[in-house]
Amino acid sequence: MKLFDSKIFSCTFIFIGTFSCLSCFALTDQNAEISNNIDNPIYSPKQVSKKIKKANRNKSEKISREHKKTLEKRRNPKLGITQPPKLDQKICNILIRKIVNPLKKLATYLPDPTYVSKSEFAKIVILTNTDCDKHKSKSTINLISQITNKHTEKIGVILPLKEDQRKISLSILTGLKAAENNIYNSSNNFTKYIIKDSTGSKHAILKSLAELILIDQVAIIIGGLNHSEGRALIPITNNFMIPTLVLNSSTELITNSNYAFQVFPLLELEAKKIITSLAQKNVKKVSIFRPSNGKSDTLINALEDNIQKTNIQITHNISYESGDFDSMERAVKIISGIDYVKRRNEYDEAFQKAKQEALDANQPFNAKTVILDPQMLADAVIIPDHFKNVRHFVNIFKYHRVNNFMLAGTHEWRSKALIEPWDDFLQGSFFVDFIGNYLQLPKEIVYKELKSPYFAPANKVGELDFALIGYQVGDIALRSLAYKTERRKDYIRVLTNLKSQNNFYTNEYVFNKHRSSNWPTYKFEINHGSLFLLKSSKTTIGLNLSAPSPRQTEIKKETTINKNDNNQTIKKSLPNKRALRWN
Amino acid sequence: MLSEGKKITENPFLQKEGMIKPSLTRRIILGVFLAAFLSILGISSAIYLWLDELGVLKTNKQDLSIILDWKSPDNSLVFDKNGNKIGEFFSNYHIFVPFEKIPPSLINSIIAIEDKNFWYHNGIDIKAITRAGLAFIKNQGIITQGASTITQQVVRHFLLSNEKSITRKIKEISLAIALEKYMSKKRILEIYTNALYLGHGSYGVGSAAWRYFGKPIEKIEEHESAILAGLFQLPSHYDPHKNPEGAKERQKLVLKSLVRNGKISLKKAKQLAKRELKYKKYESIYGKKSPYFIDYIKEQATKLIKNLNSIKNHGLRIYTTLDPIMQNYAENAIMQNAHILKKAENKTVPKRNTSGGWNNRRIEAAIIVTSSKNGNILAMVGGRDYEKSKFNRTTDALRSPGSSFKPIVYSYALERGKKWSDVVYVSPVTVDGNYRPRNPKNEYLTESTLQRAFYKSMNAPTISISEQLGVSNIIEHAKRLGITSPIKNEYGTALGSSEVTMIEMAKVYSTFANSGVRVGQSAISKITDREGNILYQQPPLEERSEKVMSPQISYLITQGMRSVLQYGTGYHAASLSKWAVGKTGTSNESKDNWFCGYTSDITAIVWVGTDDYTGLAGNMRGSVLALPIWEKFMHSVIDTKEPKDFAEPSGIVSEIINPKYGNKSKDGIKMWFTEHNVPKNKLSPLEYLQTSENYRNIFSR
Repeated sequence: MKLFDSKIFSCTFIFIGTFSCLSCFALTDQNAEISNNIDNPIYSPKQVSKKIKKANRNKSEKISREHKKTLEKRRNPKLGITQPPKLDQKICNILIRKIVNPLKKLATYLPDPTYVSKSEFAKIVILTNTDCDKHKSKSTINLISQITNKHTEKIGVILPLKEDQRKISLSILTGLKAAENNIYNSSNNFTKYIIKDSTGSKHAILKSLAELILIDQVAIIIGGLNHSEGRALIPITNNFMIPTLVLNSSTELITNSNYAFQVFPLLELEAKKIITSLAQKNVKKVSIFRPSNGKSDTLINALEDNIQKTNIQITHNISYESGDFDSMERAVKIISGIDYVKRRNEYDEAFQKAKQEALDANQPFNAKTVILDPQMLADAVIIPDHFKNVRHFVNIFKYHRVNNFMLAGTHEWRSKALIEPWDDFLQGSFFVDFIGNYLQLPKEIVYKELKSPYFAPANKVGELDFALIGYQVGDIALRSLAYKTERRKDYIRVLTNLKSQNNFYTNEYVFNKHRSSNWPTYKFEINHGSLFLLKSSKTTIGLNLSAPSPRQTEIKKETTINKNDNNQTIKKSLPNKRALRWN
Repeated sequence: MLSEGKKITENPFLQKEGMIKPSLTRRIILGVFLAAFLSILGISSAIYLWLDELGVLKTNKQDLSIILDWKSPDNSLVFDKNGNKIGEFFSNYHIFVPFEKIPPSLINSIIAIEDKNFWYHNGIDIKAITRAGLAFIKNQGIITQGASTITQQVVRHFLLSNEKSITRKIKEISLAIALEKYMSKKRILEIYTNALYLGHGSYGVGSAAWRYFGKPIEKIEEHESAILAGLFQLPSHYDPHKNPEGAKERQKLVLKSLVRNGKISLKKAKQLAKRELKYKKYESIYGKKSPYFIDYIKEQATKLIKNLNSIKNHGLRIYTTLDPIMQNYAENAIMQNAHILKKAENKTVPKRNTSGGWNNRRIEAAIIVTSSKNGNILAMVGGRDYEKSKFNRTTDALRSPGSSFKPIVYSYALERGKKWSDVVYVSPVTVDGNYRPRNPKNEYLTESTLQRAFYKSMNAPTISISEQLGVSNIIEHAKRLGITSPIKNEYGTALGSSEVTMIEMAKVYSTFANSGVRVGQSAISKITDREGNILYQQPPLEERSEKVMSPQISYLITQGMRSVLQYGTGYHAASLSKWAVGKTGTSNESKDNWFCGYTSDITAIVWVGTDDYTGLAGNMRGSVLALPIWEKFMHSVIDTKEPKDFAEPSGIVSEIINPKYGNKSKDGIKMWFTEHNVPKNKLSPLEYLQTSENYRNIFSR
């Protein structure tokens, strides 16, 4: 196994890691595109080959351009540099700046700030730019790389374990533990995890992070449950080149890091699924009811982005205040075309007719009985809000004599209270969710009392959501650890090429080109008081809804999980070196 | 004459051969005698023929049958459940008094003034006739004195006119003589004293004693007897109320007669004459006590005794179910809330009066109380003032029950498998194309259990339930429970738009109270004639009862109505919820304001509104207008005797349930369920959503 002794690879890797993230991403994107194209059957093998060559050529040209710029800078008399430094020197300097200095700073967060001076890190904290001189640079680089890439095959977990988020963290820990028990077929608790608390402030996060990096020397870090935590965590793990599994839906967090992977359901995927489903139902015009609290804005933006690629037209995007009848009724009236000003003549006519009928029947005339008929301006409405408001919308629709209208929604719809008591109005409506059949979830996270494939007790729903996320992130981390790489940064490759197990993810691989997990989205049809979980459809209606991984090819040589090993050791072969030469 | 004389001599009977020829004188005398004889014979024949023509000579028992078979017309009397008289029906005021019960002083007085020889003559008093005849001759054929005996007066009263003629007199004499043959003196006197008109609408001494002295005949004293005895001659003239002086003079005359007849001494007569006469203005019992109920009894009794055109004067004894204490409580409950009703009158649309000004409309109130166990009507107040309006609103007014109809809807829903904890989304509804029942807007976009929707009297959930159950099924259910008025097959019925009577609602609510057994209502337990023969007997309870709902469902709806008092629209009477349950009802524009409720023993229905269906402005509702009356009544009842709690049937369980979301919750309220239909969920998604404000919102982190 000679995977990482290639000088070229090392240099290229460090070079990209220390140059701008932008250039790195550009390359990643190119490779992703290649990989994407490989996965996409519309390209023939020849075309794929051409594209790979083209991408490599582009990459070389780009590196060359960067190099020229560096040379030009060196010729600048103001810098007083007459001799251009070698690449090793430059890398060395960058490592001093990006790793050594931050390391010193990070060490200050340790309970014992002198710890570093007593540890192996002592060798590198003393390094300065002078150690990047002509003859020293190479050895300095190797020293830094050697020490910072060491790991204990442990997974560091940073979660807010106190205060109001404790419950969520505990759910995630339930999932993590379940994943460990599942993989190692044991009931040992958290043997692979080192759990740290992030409650409180950035200081708490950095303290936990310092312990995990400098003391525990974990292989992978899991964290970022809150956006603020992610922002504190990811730049540091990026500097130290630590694979990080981010538990957050914000793709923005992982954008600027090469080492961060997102393990979380994505609203964008739900949006795509909704659009696909509407297209399948031949919907041409759709309206959106937007909760004014902004909680669904991300989804709605994704809906708007994706719908442009279809022939579906968004007729209205109406904001409403949840729980305010007038506001919600206004939304209903707008898409039902109930406008007493615009349809004044029609109303007057109906008024006179009703009056005359009452007169003819010798009955008292009640003006309140004169109601405009609905004239629907859309074929369906998307309501990205919880089931309760959906039910109230149903009643308001019916109040305005709209008795049959397609509604579409999100995971927030999923509750027994949506269909109980049953209302025929909901017949044919649907919603999408990031969890399918509850009973098919890993049994370790499903409660014994849970009998329904579709519904969980309300107070357990959130726990199940996060337990599943915890399970998946634990599963990903543990399966990656099974490859037992010597160098921590090599887990990036493992993660990148990690394959989906039990067909949970929508793709063969766990992560897509953006290092977001290919989390599945399920569609539930509402039919006669029941939910029907529809199998995932590949129909893309012009959208590329699949999220291909960035790999060119993937060759798994051997996978052996020895679950009967009393020492709980797992021997796994790493992905083929050639196959990983994507950067 | 000579020729005649010759002829006489030629008569073989008058002239014999060799006899001496009668003298002329003798012949003249003989002729006169003969002529007289012939005249008498002729006159007698003529009188005979005349009397025969009058029928006097043929007088027999059959001619007197009216008298012989006479039965005193008697008022029909109405008694409450305790046997106390509360009313009477009559066209002429009769109170029959047997001879034995007539005070001797009165008998003596009557005989003294009217017919002092009554006990001795055979129907006519010759001396009196002679005296009257002489007066007749003396006054040149004008009858100035009467010579009628009591017997004659009886005959005249029943068989003859009041015409003063010889012919009638002869008939009278003849019939009187005949009557004496067939009837005892006592009986003649009994009829006389009971049948003759004595003024002021009264017939007979019994009724006259009540009318003039306000007491039964047994308690009439001697000086009063003289007054009564004096009435027989000219009752209207000697009416003590109209002409006390005349009555007094007549009394003195009677007393003198008694002295002349040796019945009392002069001294005593003078003493009696001096005694003060305390007349009591007659006040009819009719209209004073439970007048609406009495009217209802008259109507019901007429239906029950079908062979009588009228129950008046038939001497019926009608035993009713009226509980005077309850009636009193009911009347007081309305009276003591008069100020509320008065205030409500200011909320009506004024109407123009005859003088061109504006008057508020009168707010009426009515209450009916029945026994929950046997359907007996215990109290009935058909309006605020019988004198002002005799219209019985408890039985005759068809009014919209409003939400007080909802127990019918919800009991059917429970019967059909729904349970109190079932959750409904409360929003406005449109049904039947354009029917939009009103509902408070602050209830929109909320959620509620059926029980909460029930005790807060929400309209929209009721309509939604009705849609699910079917209005026609609800109507059938209402009929089973006791509604007999036509019910409109429309959704508004579920909200109580179809008009019903209070007595029907009493039957429905009694059925709930009586474990689902509907009992035929009744106000009359027994009717007898005056001899005590039973003409009608209330059927046994079993024959009047029909099980129309399970005890379990009845218990559930009862407990639902308990929560109306505990937490809902009847909260004002929450203190009664230990013993009583009920439901408010308000029709559109507060035209009708109800409170219907019951304990385990009694059911009380209260209605308040205007007779002309005028609406009330402002915050007028069943809970504001009817509930205080019901509350007052029930407090009176419970203060008197604390009722037992409702019997809990088998197969019933209770749980503490969140009233909004229907899940088990220690902070909830007690709800009852049939044991096979108990909620199991400890947590409601809706409650969770309410408390956490975050349902699967994992993306906003």
